[in-house]
Amino acid sequence: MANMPNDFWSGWIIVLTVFSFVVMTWSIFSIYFSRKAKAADKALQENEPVWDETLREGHAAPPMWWFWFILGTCVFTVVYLMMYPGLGKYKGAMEWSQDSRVESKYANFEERFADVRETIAASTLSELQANERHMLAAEGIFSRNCAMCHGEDAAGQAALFPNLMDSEWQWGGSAEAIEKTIREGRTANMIAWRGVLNAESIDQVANYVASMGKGATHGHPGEATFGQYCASCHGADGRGNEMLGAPNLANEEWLYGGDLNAIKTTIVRGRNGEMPAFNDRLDDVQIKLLVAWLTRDLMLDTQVAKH
Amino acid sequence: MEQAVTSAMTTSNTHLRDDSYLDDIVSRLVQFSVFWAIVGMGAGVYIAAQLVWPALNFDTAWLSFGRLRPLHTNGVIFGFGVTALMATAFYTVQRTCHVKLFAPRLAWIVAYGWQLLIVLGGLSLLAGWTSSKEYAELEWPFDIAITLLWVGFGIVFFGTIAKRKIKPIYISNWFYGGLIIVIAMLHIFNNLAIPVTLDKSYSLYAGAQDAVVQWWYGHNAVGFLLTGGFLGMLYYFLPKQAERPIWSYRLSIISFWAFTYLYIWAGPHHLHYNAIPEWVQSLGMVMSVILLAPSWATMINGVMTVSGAWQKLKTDPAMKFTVLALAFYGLATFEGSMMAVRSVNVVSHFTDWTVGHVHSGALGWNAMITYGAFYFLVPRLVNRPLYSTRLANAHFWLALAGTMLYIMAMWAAGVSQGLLWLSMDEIGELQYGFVDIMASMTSYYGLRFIAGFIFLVGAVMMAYNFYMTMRSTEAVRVRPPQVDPAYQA
Repeated sequence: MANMPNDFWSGWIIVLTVFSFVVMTWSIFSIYFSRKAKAADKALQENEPVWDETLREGHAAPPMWWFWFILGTCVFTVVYLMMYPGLGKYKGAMEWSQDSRVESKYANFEERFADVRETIAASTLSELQANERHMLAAEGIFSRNCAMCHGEDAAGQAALFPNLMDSEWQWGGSAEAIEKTIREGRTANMIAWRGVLNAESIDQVANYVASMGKGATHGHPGEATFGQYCASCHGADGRGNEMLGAPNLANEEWLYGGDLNAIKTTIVRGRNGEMPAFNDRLDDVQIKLLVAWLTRDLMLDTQVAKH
Repeated sequence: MEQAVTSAMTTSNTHLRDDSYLDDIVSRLVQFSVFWAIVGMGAGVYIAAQLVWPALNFDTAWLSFGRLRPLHTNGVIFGFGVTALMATAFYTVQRTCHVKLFAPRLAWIVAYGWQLLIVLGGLSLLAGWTSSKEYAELEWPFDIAITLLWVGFGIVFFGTIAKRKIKPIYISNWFYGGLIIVIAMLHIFNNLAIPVTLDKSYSLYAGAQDAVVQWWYGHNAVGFLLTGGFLGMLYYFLPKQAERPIWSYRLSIISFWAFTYLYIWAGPHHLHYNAIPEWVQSLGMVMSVILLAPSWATMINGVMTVSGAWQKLKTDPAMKFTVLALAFYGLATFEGSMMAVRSVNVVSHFTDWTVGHVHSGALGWNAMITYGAFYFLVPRLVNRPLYSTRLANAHFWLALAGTMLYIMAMWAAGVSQGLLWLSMDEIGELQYGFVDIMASMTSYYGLRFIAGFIFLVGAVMMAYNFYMTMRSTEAVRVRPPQVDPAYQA
């Protein structure tokens, strides 16, 4: 128990708590039952202080039920501090702790859901995709873990985070590739070309890249520069490289924006794409459900509808 | 502002010398307090609207929720609340000590200095200066100014107690005195920080210790300022309005000491299941549970004091507010003790239930008791009947409706948040997404906005009523009465 005080401080806490608690209860009860106070009350009735015009003290004795009430809460306190940690190092008769509560919650979870989760782990992706309730659960997992970057509708955000609903998969769209991406995370790095390329070449390459998805013609002034500097990652035809996470430039899906300005910014400043690893945050069942959800038929439908 | 200070000083100068009660300062503080009520509540209503229509921040930094929220809380607690406490403490301590306020000039400096502090502090919050400690957001230059003004407040108050003509010390003064001492201690220790620049400092404490110190401050600011200070108000104004003695004076003394002892332990219940030791949490919890006893002792004492004078409720709007405040005090203290219990806190923590709980205290208890005290004070300060009793009655019903609607909306929102966040589906996944749950809150937030607006309209009506009552009147001079020889100090 790292958060438990050492013997000296533990003793100090116990003494302070018990002593001051006793003093408080004693003073309440002594004022309550004090003969002196009762006598003083009687004396006051004959000649009481006038505080301000009509403002006077009343002499009713404090009600007995209130006495039992505070006695009850004090008894509750004593019992609670005997059962639960509260007095320095003393752990309480129940041996209760936050950690043990978490552990018991986990044990409970295992007991309740181990079977159904084993079934999910053993299912194929298409079986999971066919189960509407599983897909709903997967959508919930996405909403809690992925949506803050990729958007509540998984369509990407802010021209920074990839759209997961389109046909383009920067690191590969197979179930295996997506699972690897989720488990291990990904780091994509495009260096800044400012300083390497002059303004004119940047202009030309940007124009060339912008036109690639629309069917770039050979002989474009940017083609040579592209071949020299960009093709090593993005491929000579600009179709990208899933091994490196280099996006396909020969379609009309753009991660960091597809207008000329955005493309120029990308070339000049470079880009760093970082997806964190979720291996420690999600369990196998959750990752499997996510993969099933991301590769479900609905996405094919959407793509068909788009084109 | 400066001109107002000078004119106030000159008008009161003649009055500084005689021995009649210094009531001009009370009048002025009441006016400031009502002004801050409207500003602070207005900011609250505006951010409540932002939670329904986020576009209302107009992409402007100083209109954003993060800056307006501390403006709202500081405006109502330190603007409206503390100014009202100063006004009523100055009024009460003079009358129950049968003596004029000690160091009147210092009192005026404290009164106006505090207003200047709220203005500049509020602007600094809008500018984005913040120490990021809840209810202690103001940066170090303001923390120093608060300390100095607070010490001034203490000198005036305890100086008056020291030169009192009547030997015993009235129960209200025990609560006001507790407020001044404990808030000074909490404020200084929680705000210990190393300044880096004029607008930035770093707390002397780190991590979990910072959190424990912060909630030791945060909860006892609620305890000794928003509860203890206003109990001082209750114990003077309730028996005055009912024209009956406090039912059991002895019970009031018992509950004062129990309250003072217990509250100071209760802070860690804000940190249940956090990275602080379990024994700290447990002590915070059990002391919060016992705290219900003195809280309800006070409520019972108040109800029994009114008992026998119920017919006055028909005619006196001030007393209506005070009695209603008592009911909400009982409700909020019960709720608070329950929410401090670990197993309840699992559901309630981080939900809007907490916001609802705070407002059943802030609207139902603090604002209502202050309204009650002000409706009683204003006609007496100018010796002229209230401009409109009907308007005051309408204010009463608006305040009640606004408070009820507010806390019911937040109960519904908070309890459903707490339960929805925890609910699991049949494969052990959380059933609802956080965003889905948040989206489902819109209608409750809409109700909360309406509730706050209704409450604000009531406050504006009160301000108009007071303006019409107080305009072109002259201050009344009241001299202390003779003290019974048996009780002379």
